[in-house]
Amino acid sequence: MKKTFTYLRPLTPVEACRFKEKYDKKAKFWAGGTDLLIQWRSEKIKLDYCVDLSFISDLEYIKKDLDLICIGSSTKVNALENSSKLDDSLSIIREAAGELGPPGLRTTATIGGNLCNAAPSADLATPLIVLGAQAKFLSSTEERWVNMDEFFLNVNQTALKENELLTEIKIPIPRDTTATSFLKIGRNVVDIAIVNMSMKAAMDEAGILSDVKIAFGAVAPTPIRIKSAEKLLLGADIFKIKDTLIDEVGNKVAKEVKPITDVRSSAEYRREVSRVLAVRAVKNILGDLKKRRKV
Amino acid sequence: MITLMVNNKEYQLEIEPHETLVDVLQKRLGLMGVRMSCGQGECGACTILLDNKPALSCMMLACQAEGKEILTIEGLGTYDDLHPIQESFIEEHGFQCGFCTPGVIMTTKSLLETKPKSNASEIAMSLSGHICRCGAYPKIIKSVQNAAKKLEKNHG
Amino acid sequence: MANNELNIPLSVIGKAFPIKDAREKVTGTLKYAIDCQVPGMAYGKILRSPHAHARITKIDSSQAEALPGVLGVVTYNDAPDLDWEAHWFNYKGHILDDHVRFVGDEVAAVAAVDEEIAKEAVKLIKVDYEILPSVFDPQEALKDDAPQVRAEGNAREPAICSWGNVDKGLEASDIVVESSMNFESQHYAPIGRNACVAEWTADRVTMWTSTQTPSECRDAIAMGMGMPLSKVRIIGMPSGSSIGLWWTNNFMLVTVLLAKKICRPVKIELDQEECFATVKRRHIEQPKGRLGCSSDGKITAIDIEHIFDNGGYGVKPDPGYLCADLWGNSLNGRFVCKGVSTNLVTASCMRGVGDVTIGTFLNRLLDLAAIKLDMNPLEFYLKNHLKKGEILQQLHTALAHEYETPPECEDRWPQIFHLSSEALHECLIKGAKRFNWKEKFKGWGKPLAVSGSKRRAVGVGIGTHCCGTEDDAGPTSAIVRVHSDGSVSLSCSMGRHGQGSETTQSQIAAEVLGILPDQIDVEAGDTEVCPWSHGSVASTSAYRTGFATKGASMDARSQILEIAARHYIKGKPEQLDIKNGVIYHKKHPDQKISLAELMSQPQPDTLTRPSIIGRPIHRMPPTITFARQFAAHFVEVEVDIETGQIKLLDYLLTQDSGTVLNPKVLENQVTGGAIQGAGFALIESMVFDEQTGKVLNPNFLDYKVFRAPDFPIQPEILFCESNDPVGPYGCKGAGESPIAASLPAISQAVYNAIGVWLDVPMTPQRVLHALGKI
Repeated sequence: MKKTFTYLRPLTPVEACRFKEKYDKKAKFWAGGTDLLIQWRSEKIKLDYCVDLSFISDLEYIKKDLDLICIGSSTKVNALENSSKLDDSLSIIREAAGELGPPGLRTTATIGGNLCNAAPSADLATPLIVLGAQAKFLSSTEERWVNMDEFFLNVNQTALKENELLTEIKIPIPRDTTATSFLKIGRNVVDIAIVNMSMKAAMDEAGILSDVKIAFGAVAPTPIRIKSAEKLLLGADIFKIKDTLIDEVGNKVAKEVKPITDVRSSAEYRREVSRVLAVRAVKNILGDLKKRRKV
Repeated sequence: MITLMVNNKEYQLEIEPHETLVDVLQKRLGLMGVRMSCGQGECGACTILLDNKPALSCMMLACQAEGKEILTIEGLGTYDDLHPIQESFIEEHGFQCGFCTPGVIMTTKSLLETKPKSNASEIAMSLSGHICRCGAYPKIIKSVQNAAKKLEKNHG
Repeated sequence: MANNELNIPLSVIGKAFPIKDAREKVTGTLKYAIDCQVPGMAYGKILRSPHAHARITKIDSSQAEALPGVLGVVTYNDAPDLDWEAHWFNYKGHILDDHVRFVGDEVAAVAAVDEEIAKEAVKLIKVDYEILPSVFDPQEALKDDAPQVRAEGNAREPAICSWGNVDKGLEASDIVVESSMNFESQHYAPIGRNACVAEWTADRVTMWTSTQTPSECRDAIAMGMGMPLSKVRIIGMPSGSSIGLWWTNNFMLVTVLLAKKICRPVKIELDQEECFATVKRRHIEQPKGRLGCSSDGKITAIDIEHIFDNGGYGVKPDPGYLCADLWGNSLNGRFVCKGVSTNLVTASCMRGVGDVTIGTFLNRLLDLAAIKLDMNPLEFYLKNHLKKGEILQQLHTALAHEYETPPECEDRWPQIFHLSSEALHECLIKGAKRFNWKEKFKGWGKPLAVSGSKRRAVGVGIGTHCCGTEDDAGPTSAIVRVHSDGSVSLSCSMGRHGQGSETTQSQIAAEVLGILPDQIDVEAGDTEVCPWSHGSVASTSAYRTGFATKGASMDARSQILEIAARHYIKGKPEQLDIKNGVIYHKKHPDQKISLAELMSQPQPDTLTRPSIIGRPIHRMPPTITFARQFAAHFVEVEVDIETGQIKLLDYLLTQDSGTVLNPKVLENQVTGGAIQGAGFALIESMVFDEQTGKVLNPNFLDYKVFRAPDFPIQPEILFCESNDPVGPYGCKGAGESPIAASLPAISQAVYNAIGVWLDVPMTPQRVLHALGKI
């Protein structure tokens, strides 16, 4: 009668996949477990087999590989928060990690868990989207890569097939002339995001913007890119961008987001604040790029 | 059956897989100083040190803690033999009801080992995972600053 | 200092002794009610109503009872057909009945050998409900055709207090301002939860639980179970932060009922959601009114109507407020309060009660008047606040027929219905100077600084409250026992939720007895040992319990000196003194005996050791009629007019709680109140489902409270010590004026930053809405 489950402890990713395949829908991959534990207790999910990933050391790393940063899916959020490898434009991953939940949670919460739980407000999602990250999915039969753009399908739903395991996230190291910004608004210092967002823009020697990416979280069923806003900035000269253009970026964002009203905030507020954050992010990035251009 | 290393002692325990670390620490090992309040990782009362880092014991399975060093308030100091951090909290009145205190003290220990020169704002941010509903935050911060000085003196 | 009858320099009053259970708290060894275990204990779980309003037509617990490990079930069929009433109308109802009044209301309870089985069994109880129409809005609930929550109707008798002629007064005023506010419901948001363990032995019951009011809890159990008080024992245990939550709660009586049914001790422990959604909360409150004043800034009339909800089981006629008297110099006043039942979880007392809500509203009316007159708020407050010796108009109007000073007390009691002490004036002047108010206040609605989207401004607010009250309840009393080794036990019923009362009470007793607080052990929770007391409510402990503690200690002291004079030191008792645990002749100090020696020696006449039991000799005057605590807060805020976020940049608290017994204890108290008030001002509110009445944020994830970085890191605190003639060594209560001062200060600062007045909580949504951005 007592509610419990069978605990499994694979020591390699392949072993984990084998367990998952064997027990199929009755099993779940358990990274830090910080989301799953609550969902299981409140009977939102069924769990007969818990496949604990936290003993697979092969899944915990942050390493540089030529022009890529590779992060193992079981890397703890506090490791991301404190990693010197995530510097310059990659620092938005560190910033997002540093605002993810209360500090004590970051000791056990993982990047993989945050992404695979796929809450619309997942703090690590928008930085990885704008940085053009890719996620590696492993099953007992194959391995494939998925762009972060295509990772999130719906609330708590990802592109992972039933028995696939997220093993790694790889991020191309942006060129030197790239600036990024991560902004989050909550009700107070520790909160699920009311709105969070990331932005990236690269600049050539002439000061022309390219590779502009804008992503918002907590304002749609999944984190989303606002491509119409990105287009407004592509090709723009950073020294010639007028406030009216920046405002238009904000307006485009406000138009495209699909926020809801819930216990944390209202749809109207989320929409307006999305507009404000978009404008602020653009100004942050332009300010940063202008400084570097002068140098 | 799992083996847990708690307060420098090894324990072999027959547990159920779903038992959280706080369940096991409290119910199996009688370590009631590991407080449990919200059960959802928000209040920080259940904070222990896991390999010297603050972790929320209500938000992890006991199984996940195997092979790691767990330190609870009971392992830090006792009624008759207080740790300098505990002394500082007494001197500065760094608590009111005391429910959040063990968790706060454990985070403080980790903080002062990794960033001993933290300023007041940094201390506040490091302790942002702890809800003190009584509102003793200013005195908690003073207690941490007092403890930092004490520990520096001890090491110096 | 006056009120220091012994006329010697104080030795322990005013010192920051560590609090009594400090070691337990820092080592994690303090036992809270949720830690309580007794041998043979069963575990209970409560079945709760999923409906806001319904009648139970059938309840079948047979399946639950058949589950292996289940020991018994109680339903309304087991409960006495009796209402129990909590103090101050906080609750009135049967322990269980066939009528449920809010989502989460207790329907039945199961006891089992372990908690898991109890949880499973609860699900097996089958209940048929006849769903009744429900009402959630207080204004709706007042209507004649509203669904009736209680048999006696939704609306309580309006609590009216009026003096002078307010309509004429307003007519004659040079300036009249009008406003209304809406306060959402704040929750205690307790860390630490609570549990109750009940055990019957024959016809006696013992209950372990966390309660601020052990004596009142005993009264309630006896009432609800229909049994004599002498057969009920409460052992009050420490709790996490309570601030009005853990007084007597219905789940405690359910536990008692269940334990009786199964003839075994039972523990019911509330989980986080139950703590948030099924016990009690602050009322939803809606004041509206007008204030008139003369063109030179003197208030002439105040007219307020205040509607508030009691939820399912509260029956308060008014929220409880003393702030009317703070501005009671107005010659005309009318306060009309209407309490109304709704199908939401019970609403009743929370820290500061109506002094937070009506108090904030009054501050607002004052501010509106000051704006019209173009007067600095400080100037306006200084001109109008009640001063020492002035009449407490509202209290006088309400209670003059009840209270009269007996002739024999005339020289001991202060003048009743007149303010006994006040340092609010000093708080405002000194606070303003320290805060640099003159430079920082740029005028009404004018920010101190503008930087991009950020607006900074300052505000000042005042709070007040009583220092305990009488109100139909027993006298607050204390007992001092001196043991044969010279150690002392002090028994005075109080809460143990972190307010430091055991420490401050021991300091009072130690001061009188000439020993150290360490030598005094305080028992605060056990009703077998402690005489009746209100407990730690209405800021009672320092003042009223302190008065009793001092009285009991003085009695013990005089017994000690009498014995010393009789047997050991040549002289009269009044020629002797005690210091550092040694009794000595004031003129010949070499004639002495230690307290330990005196207590341990058989007396020459009786051949027995002395028995010293001290109790208060003098009657406590009706403290509600003259004692008030005051707080004035100065705050600087920064409002981001693009995101609506409000940040607190700087905070100065000033406090008049008379003589400071223990500065660090008091600093914690006032800061805690300010932080809870600031939380209510900015981010805290309970959210109810509009259709079902269910609490939508019954946890810390969704009900946000302040964390360390949300409040200024080191707020400044100034104590202005008025010297109260009745409070022990001149002290007064402190628990509730700080939370009452916090909201109006922040509210005014926000107005000065952005030029709009907001309802509470002043969420970013509200800011942007008020600025026309959404």
